[in-house]
Amino acid sequence: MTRLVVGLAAAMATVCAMAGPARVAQAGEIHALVNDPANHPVEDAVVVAVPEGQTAAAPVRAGREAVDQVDKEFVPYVKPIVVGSQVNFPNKDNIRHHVYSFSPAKTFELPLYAGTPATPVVFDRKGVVTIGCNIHDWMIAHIYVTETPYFGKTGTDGKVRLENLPPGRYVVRVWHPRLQGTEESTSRTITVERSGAVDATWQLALKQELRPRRSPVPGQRGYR
Amino acid sequence: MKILVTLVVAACLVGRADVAGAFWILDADANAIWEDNVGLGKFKRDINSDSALSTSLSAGPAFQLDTSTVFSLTGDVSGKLYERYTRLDNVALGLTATLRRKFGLGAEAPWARAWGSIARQQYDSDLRDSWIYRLGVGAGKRFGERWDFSADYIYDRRLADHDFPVAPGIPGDVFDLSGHTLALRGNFLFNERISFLGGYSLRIGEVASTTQQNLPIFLASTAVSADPAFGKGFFAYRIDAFVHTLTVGLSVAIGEHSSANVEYSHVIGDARGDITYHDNIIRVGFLYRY
Repeated sequence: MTRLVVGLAAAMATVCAMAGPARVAQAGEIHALVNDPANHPVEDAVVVAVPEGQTAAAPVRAGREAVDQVDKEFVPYVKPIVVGSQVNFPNKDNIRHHVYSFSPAKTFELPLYAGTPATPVVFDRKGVVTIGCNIHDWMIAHIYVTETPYFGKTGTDGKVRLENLPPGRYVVRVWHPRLQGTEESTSRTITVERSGAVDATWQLALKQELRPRRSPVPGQRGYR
Repeated sequence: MKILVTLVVAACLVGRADVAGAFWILDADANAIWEDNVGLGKFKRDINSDSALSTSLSAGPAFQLDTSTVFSLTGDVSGKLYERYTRLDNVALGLTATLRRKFGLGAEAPWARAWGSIARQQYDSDLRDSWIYRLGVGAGKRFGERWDFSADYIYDRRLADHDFPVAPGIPGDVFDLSGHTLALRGNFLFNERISFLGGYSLRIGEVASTTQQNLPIFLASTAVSADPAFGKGFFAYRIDAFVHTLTVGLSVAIGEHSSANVEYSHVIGDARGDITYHDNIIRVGFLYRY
């Protein structure tokens, strides 16, 4: 009987650990809003909160994630994940894709394939990993690999909520694929109380997006 | 018949699409064109401007042969309708086979292609009816986020159906033409939607121009024929020439699959016998690619 109770307790502890950032009894939130200089909401901005003083990656259970390929585009365009996560790249088109990245945080190549590759790619270093398709040059997406479990991505309204943050001080920063300047320049320290939410707003200056154009240009035959 | 057979073969290949990694490609365009020297005349009296509507459609299977190589085979149909010189109205039906290879990984990896095409072009005026064969090789590369360049060499051969000589000893097969073209092209991505494009081509070979009766021109020509497309008293002549074409343009993306485009071309034909002509062409159109 004792062994059964201990076993159940161990199993519950494992499930809780796998659920990502620990849900703490007293936890605060950061409600982030990201706008551009004209006060239009910025979608796909990644907001991360790193506990002040944290120098190494937090012991967070990494997850299994996916970046799909749909209608010759990566979906989603921006994918924040925690260090150590495994990412699969299911090809949902009826043609083959050839996924690659040159980014220092993760260099890899999934040569021409259909369906879902058998082995996911493990992202074991923090940083931004830009991925592309070698057949369709316009296909680009960004995987933001972070060292903290407290992160999120803004929706079309430019808003994201970071929840279940233990009380304390956090260095919060914002990244976007078109961010002008450095991610560090967006850093600010925010104190999270035992309950309630802290509102924080960023105004990001964005560059133009200059990926290869998908729409046709006279005289060019694209990838054909 | 040859075209039909090839189309049937292509259809069979598409039937094996799942095995061969095939996919369909489709390009279509529609343009309004204004041209100030349709007949490529030298003298003012020979220069005729006109506007036209053109459209083309290319569709067919493409096969991803390996990680870097695509082979495509398209059926091509096109047509052009002139406002004034309606005897220049024409339709064309053809086939194009293209092999393209990319050397390396990434959007900036260089590529090369080789292609060949055959087309049957039928005019309202019989004189110009012909088969057109083209062979080309080319290469290209993107530089950074904004620049994209390509260079092509093209050999073209046009075999006209008819030979209507106007004088004994002077051939009348004006539209039997061949030439070698070197074409350079560049695109500059200004922002997410707008691209500027520019190009230069040099074609060395035979051209067909139109003139009213003119002995020096006839003496410099290799073929002469009456050209009813431009009216009574006009003659088409074939002559060796260097043809320089400079093109600039603007392309605005409309969604993911289409674009609106404006192009301006200035053509300078420098022909044997000190015969020079100029042609300005403005093309406004819509391009769709799937």
